[in-house]
Amino acid sequence: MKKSCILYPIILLCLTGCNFNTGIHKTPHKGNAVYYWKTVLSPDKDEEDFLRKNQVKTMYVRFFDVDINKNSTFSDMCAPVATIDLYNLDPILDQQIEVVPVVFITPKAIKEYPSFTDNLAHRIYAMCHKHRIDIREVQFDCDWTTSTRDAYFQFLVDVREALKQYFDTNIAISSTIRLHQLAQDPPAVDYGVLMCYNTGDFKNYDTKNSILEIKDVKPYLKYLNTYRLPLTLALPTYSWIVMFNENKKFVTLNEYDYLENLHDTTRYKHLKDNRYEVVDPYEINVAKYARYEEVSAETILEVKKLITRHYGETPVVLYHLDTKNLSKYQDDEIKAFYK
Amino acid sequence: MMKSKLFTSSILLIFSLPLLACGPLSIIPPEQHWLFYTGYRMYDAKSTYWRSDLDEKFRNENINFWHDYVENSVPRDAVEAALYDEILLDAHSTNAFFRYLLDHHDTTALHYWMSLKSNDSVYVKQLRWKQSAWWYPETDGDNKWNMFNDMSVTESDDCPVDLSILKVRELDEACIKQCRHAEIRNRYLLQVMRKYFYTENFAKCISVWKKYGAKVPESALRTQCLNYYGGALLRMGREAEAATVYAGIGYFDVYLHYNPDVLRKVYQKQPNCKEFEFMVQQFVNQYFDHPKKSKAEAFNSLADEIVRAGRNRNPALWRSAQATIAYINRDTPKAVQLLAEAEKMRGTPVVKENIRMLRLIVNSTRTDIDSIYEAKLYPDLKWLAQNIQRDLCVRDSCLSNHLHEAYCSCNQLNDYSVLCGEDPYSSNLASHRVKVLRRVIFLGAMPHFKKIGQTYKSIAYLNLYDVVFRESELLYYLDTTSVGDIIRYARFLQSGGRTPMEKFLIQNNHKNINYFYDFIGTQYMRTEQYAAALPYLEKVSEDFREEQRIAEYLTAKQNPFAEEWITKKENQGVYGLSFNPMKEYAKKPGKLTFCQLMIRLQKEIQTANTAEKRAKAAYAYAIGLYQSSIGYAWALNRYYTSSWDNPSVPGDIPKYADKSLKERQNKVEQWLDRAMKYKKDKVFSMKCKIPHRRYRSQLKETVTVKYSWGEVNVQQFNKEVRSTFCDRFDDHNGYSNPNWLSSVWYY
Repeated sequence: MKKSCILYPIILLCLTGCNFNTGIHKTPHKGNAVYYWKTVLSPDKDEEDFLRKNQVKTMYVRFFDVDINKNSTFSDMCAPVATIDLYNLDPILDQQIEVVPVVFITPKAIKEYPSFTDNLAHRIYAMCHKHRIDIREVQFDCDWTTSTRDAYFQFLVDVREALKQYFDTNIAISSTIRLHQLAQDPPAVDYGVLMCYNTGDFKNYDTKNSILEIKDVKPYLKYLNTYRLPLTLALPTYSWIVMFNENKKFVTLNEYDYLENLHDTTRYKHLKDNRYEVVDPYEINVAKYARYEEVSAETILEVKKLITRHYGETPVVLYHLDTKNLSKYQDDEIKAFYK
Repeated sequence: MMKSKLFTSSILLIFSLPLLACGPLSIIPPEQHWLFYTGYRMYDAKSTYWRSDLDEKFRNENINFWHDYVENSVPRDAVEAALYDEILLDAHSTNAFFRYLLDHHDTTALHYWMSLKSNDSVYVKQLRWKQSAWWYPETDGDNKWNMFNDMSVTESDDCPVDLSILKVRELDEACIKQCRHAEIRNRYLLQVMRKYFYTENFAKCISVWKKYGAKVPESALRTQCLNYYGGALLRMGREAEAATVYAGIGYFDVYLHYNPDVLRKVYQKQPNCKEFEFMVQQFVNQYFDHPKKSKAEAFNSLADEIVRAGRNRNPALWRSAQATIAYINRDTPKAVQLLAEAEKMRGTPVVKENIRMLRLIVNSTRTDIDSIYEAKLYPDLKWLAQNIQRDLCVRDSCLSNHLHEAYCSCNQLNDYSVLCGEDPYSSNLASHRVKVLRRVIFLGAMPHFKKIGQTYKSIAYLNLYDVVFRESELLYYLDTTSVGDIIRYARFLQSGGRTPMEKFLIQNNHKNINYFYDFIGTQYMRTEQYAAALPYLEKVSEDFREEQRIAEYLTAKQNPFAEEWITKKENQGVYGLSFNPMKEYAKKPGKLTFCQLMIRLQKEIQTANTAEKRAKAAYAYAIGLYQSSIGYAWALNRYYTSSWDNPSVPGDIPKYADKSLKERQNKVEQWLDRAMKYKKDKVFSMKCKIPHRRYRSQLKETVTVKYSWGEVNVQQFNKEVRSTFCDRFDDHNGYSNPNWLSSVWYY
């Protein structure tokens, strides 16, 4: 009895050690979740059905990006760009889905973070206030590296304080975690969302599939069991076409040019596997080769299995809500992703 | 580059001597000259203000007030810092201005400052947020543009205050009421209005102004207050009143003033609103920049209604505005008809003057009055020119000698506001008169006479502009006008003129005939017509040559017959002729001598009895041609541009110069070809090939030059050329640098 009295607090302390540092206000989302990454929020009928059918409880909605200000009208060092048009929130609010604003911050902008923390918090508040969204959490997405880590981590501390000025309740902070960031100390947030996608270099012509390849995930699995931050798992259900010029240099990404377009022989000629040659006379001056990328259900499930084995069960967020992309997967496959 | 600028200035001095206006001028290609004058508005009698100007004015006024308030006993910088920097006001304040107030226990001022600093934190933050890129409307009615119509807050910044030192007072009406110091009371009024405005309490903003505004004297502070007052009225939906208030302070609001509906509302409330002149002027000018058919139609209908009703005492304003709109719409007959109607109507002096200027503008571009064109222009143009000359005299009398000099050196002759700023309306009108003159001359008369084949008259009108407005546009125009036109112009000047307009032009033209002879001679020289140039150059008086002050550009040092790329002295300019052109030129350098020598060379080529002599004369001629146009003796042929200037001359001049210089290079090469044809000598041919583009590369070799920092491959003349003609090879010496010639041509 005595022994257990001493051990219990120690075990508890070990289990929640990071929480004392970061001051957790909110645990990772419960239930199914999905990202919304388009610039107009207006879910179509199929997307609404998807939310209902899969009992999605949380939607991470990209509100805006933060980048270096290029508009000379304003003196701000950094400015919000590509702000989402919250056109139709009803289907989400009707289903009592929790909206989590997500803000993507470019690496260049994060270097200037002291210049925008308060404005950023004010803006999130303004957007929520105008559209009557009750939020409990804000998520930040930033591809930080060792050179920008300190700035980003400090920003996360500061923005939590800034948000307190605008919201009556404490707002939890979460952050995306890229696989390469697992090797670093975690940021002081309430939890992280492990992005199991964008694992390859999409600009490299020789990359087979930049969205997700199991071989790209494996080297990082070793960090998972010691990572001092609760994590949830984000899995990719998107596809895209990567375009290259005749010198096989990257030209552009077509995120909403779907597979059926590649079957249009007036535009593309199939070479082999996921490789195509551009034959459309209107496009040929811009790009010569195309690589279609998507992730099979098997690969997604395999990755999920690997993560679970090394980290344990954790909720899943799918990236991202888009009927065309999600229609590639069977209902039971989607259920398996979430399960 | 420098050389050419000095030269230009010297030439300009001829015109400017009596006027002392001799500042540097920008070089504008003549074919683009007119574009610079198209942007001027046609109706511009009353000045408008820019927010930044008013802020600056208020800033100065504010600093001066507080500086005087503390009896100038602290540095002005300290006052400025207290006002505009984030300076803390508490018992430990180190700022000299605050220290003074604290030490003198000036509770009146301290209460003002405490209230100001603490209250600012609330609404300055709100303002900054609304003016940032991050702003997002928090409610459906939240509108960003509202904020941009008003002055930014520059008076003070958010400043933490030690509340234990002084009791913070809420900025409200009580502050104004209780303050015994009149000036500080006015400042309280501004701050209270500002606070109400930015906290969107527009009704209170309006009511405090109505209650206390009457006592605020004319000042930048009053204008600031009125700006908030107008803004508050606008936000309360009282558009007619807002439009009037804004107009009263010279602030143009596109929504209010480019809006016939608002003008109608103003008219309904006040048929004789004295701000109509500003409002109508701004409407017309906005239409000039952004014409919208629907706006014009609505305005015309309102103007017709106002004129018909007879309640407005300034109907000429409305009719002349309609005429301007018709003119902007290129409906000249209608513009003429409406102007004629306007002339007969009642109108203020400003409106009447504008009508006359409009008539001048319209007539200057009419194409249906060729036979009576000048007769139509004459009375109005004379009147305008006299008015401008009178304005200049008035302005000159405002200037001390010191200012006058500074003013001339800055060449800001059209900036009346700097010097006659006490009366912004009249200085604006003076400036507008000049703009009208420019329009009439550059867009009306000059193109008109050029079109009908009387370019010499275009020159006369341009000369009139220079005389009236003390400018020096003529030089550039003449320098690119055909010699025939300059001769016709010179004859015109000497004719005395037939009509009143011609007499007026001649009377008001610079008439130093030496100047025109020099121009004609130079133009002929430029086209190798040396014999034709000679009689004109001979007529240029010695005195004038002295006066020109260009002798330094026409010296033996810049001898046009020197083969400057040849550094072996014994070879320079000797040519083996019966006379040495270099020596002859050195005896009496200048255009006349050069012309005479080129004629002698031409004759020598024709009459030489041996091929060798012919060849040498042709070579010497080619060198003379080369140096006098492309080379360093460019001043013989050109007034304001040279091969040296071209790479850095702004605008299209390089293209312009490039074309004529390339033609000249072709000519030079033709003469060099002839020289080589006459004399088949290896060394002589080599000499001819050096300045010749076709052969130059054959004389070059690539060598590796070692520097302390590494090696570079450069092209230079081959050993044979160097041993024959060049003592040295210097990479940085333009004359012997083998790349020199290519740098002239392929910049």
